[in-house]
Amino acid sequence: MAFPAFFSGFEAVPLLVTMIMAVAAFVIILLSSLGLRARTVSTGISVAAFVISLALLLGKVLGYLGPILGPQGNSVFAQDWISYLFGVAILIVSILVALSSEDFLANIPNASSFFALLIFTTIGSVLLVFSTDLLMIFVAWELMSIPSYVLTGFKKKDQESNEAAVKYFLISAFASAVLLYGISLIYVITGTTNIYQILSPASSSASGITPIAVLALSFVIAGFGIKLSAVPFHMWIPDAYQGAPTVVSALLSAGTKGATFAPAARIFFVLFAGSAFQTDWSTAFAVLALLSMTVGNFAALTQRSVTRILAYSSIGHGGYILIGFAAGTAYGLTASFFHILNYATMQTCAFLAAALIIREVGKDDLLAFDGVGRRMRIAPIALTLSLLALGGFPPLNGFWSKVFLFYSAIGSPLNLGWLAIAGIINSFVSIAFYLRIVKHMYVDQPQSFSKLFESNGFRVALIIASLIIVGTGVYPGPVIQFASTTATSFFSQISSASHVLPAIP
Amino acid sequence: MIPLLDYIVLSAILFGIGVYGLVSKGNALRLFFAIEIVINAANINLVSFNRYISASTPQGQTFALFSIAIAAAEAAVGLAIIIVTFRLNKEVNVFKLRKLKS
Repeated sequence: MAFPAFFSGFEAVPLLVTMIMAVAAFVIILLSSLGLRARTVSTGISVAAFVISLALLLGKVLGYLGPILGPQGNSVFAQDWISYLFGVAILIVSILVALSSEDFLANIPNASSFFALLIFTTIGSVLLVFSTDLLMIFVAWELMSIPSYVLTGFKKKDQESNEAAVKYFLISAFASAVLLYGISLIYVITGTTNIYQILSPASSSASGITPIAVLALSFVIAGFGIKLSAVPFHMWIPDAYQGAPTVVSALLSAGTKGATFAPAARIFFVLFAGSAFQTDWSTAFAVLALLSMTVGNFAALTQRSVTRILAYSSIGHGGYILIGFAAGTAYGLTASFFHILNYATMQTCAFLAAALIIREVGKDDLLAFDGVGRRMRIAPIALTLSLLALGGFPPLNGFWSKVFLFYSAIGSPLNLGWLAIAGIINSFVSIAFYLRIVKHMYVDQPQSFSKLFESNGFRVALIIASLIIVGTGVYPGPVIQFASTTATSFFSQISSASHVLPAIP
Repeated sequence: MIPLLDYIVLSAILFGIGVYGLVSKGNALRLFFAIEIVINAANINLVSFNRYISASTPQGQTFALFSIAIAAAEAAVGLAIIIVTFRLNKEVNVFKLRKLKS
């Protein structure tokens, strides 16, 4: 790869988005070193940077800033629909988290560095969804992960936050190491690191080393599985989400986890469709999906802590999203992408509302949520809405994407009807623990009737998230269209690239 | 010249040592070093393959340089987190950190 061609096809929008956010982060650090540590200033700068970036991405999606081209040559970045879809989801999560962090960090020192780290994680996530080169994927992956370790342990004097940070760091660093080993094996087999180049016939001459291909595939699945909290690799999730500051749990469960699905789609659908890797990874994904849904939803039934319930629910939803990947069709990917967009707002809204309530009542135990519905105005309503959406109640957005997911499993050529049935059973099980939280908030008697404080930052974030949840639920058309365009254009890339390949029996 | 297979075997052995270190002990520092060993196993793969297969295009070498730099950044953050843990708990064994429970 010639280095002048390194950035070819890298149009202005992703570059601008990255630069705007990076400048915002450095301005925040600079201001704080000059003594201007006000949280409101940092919040304003970071929210402004995120909103401008989101506007740029949406402008591209809606066609005001020129058409979205496919991946270009051997560029390390792709400008395709999938990167824009994930970029939009990530930025919505980051905006909501930044808005609510302003108040959440009231008693925590060094708030401005929190916002700088939040921006760096977002830059990493956005770069991750734009990358098409394994090197770039690895670099962006680490840029996304390393600040999030610090964010998890941000309450420095707090033992729980610290324990969460240690566990999250060790598991996540292991994930990166295993992924790197898998990538090195892919490089060994194909001699290149560009995902779309691997598809070209010249580089597929080294095919036939199947045992190494299987090893590479399993290492990459393990690396991604840890980040996506798929079930055999999920042990760290409840601890990390419970111990981390709750707004950071929202970022981890929706932002960084959601972003990881984009390189997963690229690597598994594009790279492992290549001739050296004619391996059956769909079955592995179907098993991961089944395990994640079942373990996530059934383990959530026995939990007493609201953050742990939401953590297990996040594991379960990772399983739902993997159904679409396992189905392996354009329809399945449409469903997955649609669910990722919805899941990003639902899960963020749930975690942020829970963060506000937990901060005010002082505990994350279910009993502490008793009667909160009478003591606060917006947070319980937002939490109820997002939990109902997560459980898949009809007029809300979670319902539509779940219907799409289960339907895609039934329609899959791989006979995944059992996966759809398991998903439907799991959906019903999950309603039990979602409604349990709602019952504690609205039916049970509170221990005191004093009103609890809701800050404006949290209110704005929760109202925006609730509006997106209800709006997408009532009028899902445009979002489905967005997801469907993304999936079909992604599939046309694969088929136009892979028809030149020699078929390997 | 040392054959390529020797490097692959070395890398595989290092990977095995790393994974063994990860599953056998609970000390956070040991786990951290085990992770570093796995990263270096991958680096050996990248560099040796680049040298033997396509020495004219330095993709593997570039990749190894990037991953060394990133591993250093990760070490800085990770060691900081482990030091804070030791100050708070006087303990870095992850199995003995049990504040978070279901």
